[in-house]
Amino acid sequence: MAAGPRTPLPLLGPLLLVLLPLAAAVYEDQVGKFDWRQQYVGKLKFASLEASQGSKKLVVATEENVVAALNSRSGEILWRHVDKGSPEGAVDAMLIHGQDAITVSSAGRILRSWETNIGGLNWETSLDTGSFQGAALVGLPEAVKYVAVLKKAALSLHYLSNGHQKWVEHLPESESTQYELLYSRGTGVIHVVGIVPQSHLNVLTFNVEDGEITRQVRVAAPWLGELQGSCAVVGEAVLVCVDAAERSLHLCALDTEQDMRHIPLQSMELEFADDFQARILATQPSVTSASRTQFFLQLSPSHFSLLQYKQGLLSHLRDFQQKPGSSDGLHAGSTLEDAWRQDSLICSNQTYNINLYLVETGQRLLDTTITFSLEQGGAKPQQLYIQVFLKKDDSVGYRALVQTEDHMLMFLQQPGKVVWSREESLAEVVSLEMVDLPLTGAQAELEGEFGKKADGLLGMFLKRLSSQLILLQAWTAHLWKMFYDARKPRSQIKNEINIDNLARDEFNLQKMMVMVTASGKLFGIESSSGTILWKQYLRNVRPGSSFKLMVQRTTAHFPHPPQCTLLVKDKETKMSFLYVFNPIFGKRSQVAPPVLKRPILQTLLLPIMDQDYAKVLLLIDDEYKVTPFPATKNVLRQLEEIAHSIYFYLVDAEQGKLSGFRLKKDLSTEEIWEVAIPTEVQRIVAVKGKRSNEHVHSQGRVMGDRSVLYKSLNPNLLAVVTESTDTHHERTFIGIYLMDGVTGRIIHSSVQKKAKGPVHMVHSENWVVYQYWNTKARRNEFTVLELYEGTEQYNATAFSSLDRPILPQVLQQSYIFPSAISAMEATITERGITSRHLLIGLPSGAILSLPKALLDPRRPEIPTEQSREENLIPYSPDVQIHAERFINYNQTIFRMRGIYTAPSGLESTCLVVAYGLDIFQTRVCPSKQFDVLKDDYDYVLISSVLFGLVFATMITKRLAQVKLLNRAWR
Amino acid sequence: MAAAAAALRGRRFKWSLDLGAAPGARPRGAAESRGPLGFAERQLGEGGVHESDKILMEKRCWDVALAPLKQIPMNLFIMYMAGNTISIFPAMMVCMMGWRPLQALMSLSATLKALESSSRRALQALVFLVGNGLGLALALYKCQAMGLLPTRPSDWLAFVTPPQRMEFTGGGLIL
Repeated sequence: MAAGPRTPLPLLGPLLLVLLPLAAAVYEDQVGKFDWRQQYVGKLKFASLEASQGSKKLVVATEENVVAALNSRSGEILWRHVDKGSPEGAVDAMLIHGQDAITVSSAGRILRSWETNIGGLNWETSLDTGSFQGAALVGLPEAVKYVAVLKKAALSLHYLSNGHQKWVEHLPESESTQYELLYSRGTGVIHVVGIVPQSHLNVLTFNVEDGEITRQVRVAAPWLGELQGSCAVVGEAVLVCVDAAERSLHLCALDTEQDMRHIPLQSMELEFADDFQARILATQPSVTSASRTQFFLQLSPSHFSLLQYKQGLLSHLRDFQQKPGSSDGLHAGSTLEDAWRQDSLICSNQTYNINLYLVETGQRLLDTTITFSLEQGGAKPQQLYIQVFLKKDDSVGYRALVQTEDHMLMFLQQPGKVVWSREESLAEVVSLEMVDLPLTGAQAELEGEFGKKADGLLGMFLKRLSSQLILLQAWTAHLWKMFYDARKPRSQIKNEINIDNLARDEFNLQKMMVMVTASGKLFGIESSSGTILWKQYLRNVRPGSSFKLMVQRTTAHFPHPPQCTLLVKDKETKMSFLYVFNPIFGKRSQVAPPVLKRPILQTLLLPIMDQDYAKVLLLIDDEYKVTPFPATKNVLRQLEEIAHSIYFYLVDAEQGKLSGFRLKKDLSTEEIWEVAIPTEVQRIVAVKGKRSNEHVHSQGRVMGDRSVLYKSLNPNLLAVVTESTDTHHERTFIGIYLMDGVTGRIIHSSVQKKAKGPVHMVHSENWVVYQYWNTKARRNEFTVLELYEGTEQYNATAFSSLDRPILPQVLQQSYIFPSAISAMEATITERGITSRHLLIGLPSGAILSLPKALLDPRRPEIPTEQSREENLIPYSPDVQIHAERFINYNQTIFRMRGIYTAPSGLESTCLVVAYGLDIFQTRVCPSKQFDVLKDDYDYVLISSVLFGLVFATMITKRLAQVKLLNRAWR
Repeated sequence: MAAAAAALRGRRFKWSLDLGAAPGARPRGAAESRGPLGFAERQLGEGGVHESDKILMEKRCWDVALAPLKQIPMNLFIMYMAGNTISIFPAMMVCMMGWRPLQALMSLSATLKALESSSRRALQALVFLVGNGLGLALALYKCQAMGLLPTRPSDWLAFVTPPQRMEFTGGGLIL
């Protein structure tokens, strides 16, 4: 039958569908409703506390290449500048002068001056190349005017006011001499000390005005191996070096002397620790005057001794030594106030004291002790910064900034009050999982009802009644609370979330975020507010370890507590251990994890459970033996039964080898396949399987002619990305291999010529999306691969990788993307009905929510009737970035490293956490909120209309009755 | 006024004859021998009138039986005009097209009763059935053409369950 005249509707259909997701942005009044952001600066490298009592800020430069100012009253970030994440952005030195902070960054290439009040850049100059050795402010007797930068072969002087270079001087004999020390004390000269190890010191004296070398001395020091640490300048430019082997000090006045004087320390009865390189710590209160004559000599990690060198005489003022039995070290800090010198942390039982001592005499000042205690975690203080000031009554007051091993910052006030603390380890989140919150008692009661079966009709009925009664009780309590709260002003109502009132909300939108940070500290963060509910520091984690976090038991198995397992593997020793904990309360679990004697290569979380509903974790060691955890009899029996169907694959990026193993009944393994990717040509950069918790609702796609194109949903599929070792832009390429993890069969492979990494990839359902840099066209490109079985399913009931005679059809399309990306992830929902979006983290800090429908290899170049029927958008090569699609509006996330998505209880909603230097949490609804009423739903209008209609019905009914009666009478 | 009274009288007694004015009025008994106006003594012959009635009845029954068939060309034309897009008017038309034969089939017994008088009852009933069946088939064909019938695999796609996984695999880059 011939088709009738077409309406324009089918043409409009796809267009409308394209336009729909554009309106995905949040409304102004929704800002901060579901989302929050936390900003961090990272571990401190340099910090400066202002000397005056009324000062409100502290300026910091961190390992994360951040220069920032923190509010010293609240700990908030006043301003923050984030440099490149690579070593290029590293801050090498920070000097504070008045309101200006001078930083040297990018390995001594860039000198910057910041205005510390508002964080503006005063000036920036680039310096000559050459490895950076040191920087110092240079003062004339009246004012500080210059900053000197010492490089391997040159010394340059810059004006503080505008950064212009005053002069640059070449250093003599710079090939053999390492110039490391820079010193000036407002006398119009700059001393530079260089060392030729085990031979001599070179002391150069420069004139500040014209850079002329006024004096050049060679001081013999055959015993000295390094300058940094073992030498310092005290008093009127006297260089002091310590010789631990001879237990003596060597002194040399930089202005006048040509030789070092040798002062033995035996008479002072100082004990040098054998395996510790003794250090000298000196301070200079102001660059326009001489250093202090007093200095610290650090003899062992926990032993400092305060010495004085005055008028040619060395005297011993005080010993600071840790009490035996406590293991923590002393920390010497410096001071800014003239007459005071502070110090010393003494520890006992996680309680630390800070005492203030007078530097001239070594006497302790009364009432200056700050006592603070750290949490049970056992992190030791690592760095201490002190701010000393004179109070109004002329007594001494001070504040202290303490940084602990787990990168926590604490700002302390006398007498031990923690003004604020910051968890800076959250700037380096490495792994993240979201765990459902536990049910409340009432909910658990109701759930338990469905769990049991045999109870008899009457028993079940009674149980139902009792649980309903409990629910009623909870509801009335809730109503009462609402009523009670309604009377209070809105500002006073705070829904404080703490660990005791944690409960799942009705849509499971609130979850517990378990975060693992690079420092080895674990956090439990409540997802709706970002409150840190628990933290746990693992002491025995070394920096640079790799982590793998797994959820073995969710909260669904009441009364068994949920259980998370963290595998920590040390990069150097290759040894690993398991840490088992309860993700809701952060407590270490009672379950004893197996002791791992061999290095663990990989883990595998099986869907089978033991009798306590904990999923079985298989740990594969370097002998390819498998250790199950938990290892109960029940588990072993189950494992024996299903061992034939368990496979695992290991990817060795260094050797370019992929290998697959099969589990045998005795828990040993057998290698069944191996694929070699020659490392000379290309190296493996990423391997991605599918997420185990992913549900795919639809098994196929409906075509325009209403037949079905079945998706090839191979759960064992791996996507392997390689990059060429040759990085020349003409010859560079990336390769993508789709492999079956069970059989090792390569299902699809393609090589993208003239393409370069870094490659970001998402592998989900039946598609793989990856992004790379096209060196020929100089642009970023996306490629999408989709796998289909065709119009017939080979086996609709069971999927076995061993029985797949037909290779899937692979469709591919590429798109131009206008920006580089820093992270990419796909949304995930409970049942997989909602359409998928890709969440793309841009280097600008925004997160773009891009509908997957835009990256669909079936997009036709010439739209046909059938493609229109299918709602396929005609192909256009460029994917645009629309600002309305940013899910984080202006809440940018610096240096995004990953995006984590988790399903919520609502099918429409997906929870998103983006982490990098900052942490951002929000919800996204890729297909809009089709299962809940909107926020701005007009309840009043609807209910008034409803009541109005009911009322109108009642009135008209009455009227109709009267009319009928009247008619009957007629 | 008089005319009005006469008219009134005339209306009230439409067929009464005022014979009183005639001289020599007959006694009342004589009136019985005289039939009313148009009265015939002889009985009316049965054959002629009965014959034509029967033919009429037959014709009427055939009309009833053929009505659904006659609808079909009209339906075809409407179907052609409506097109295959799914919108409110074509949908309503298809509904009507489907509903009418259904309704007719449901009230089949009543129709059969009406056909009872006919001699070729069985044939007429068959024709009626076939006509309605054709109408129904036409409606179904239209539904099919519009894509309203779940006859293709895509219509059952939502009920396809994911295949069971026979092997379990995991792993990744060496930690």
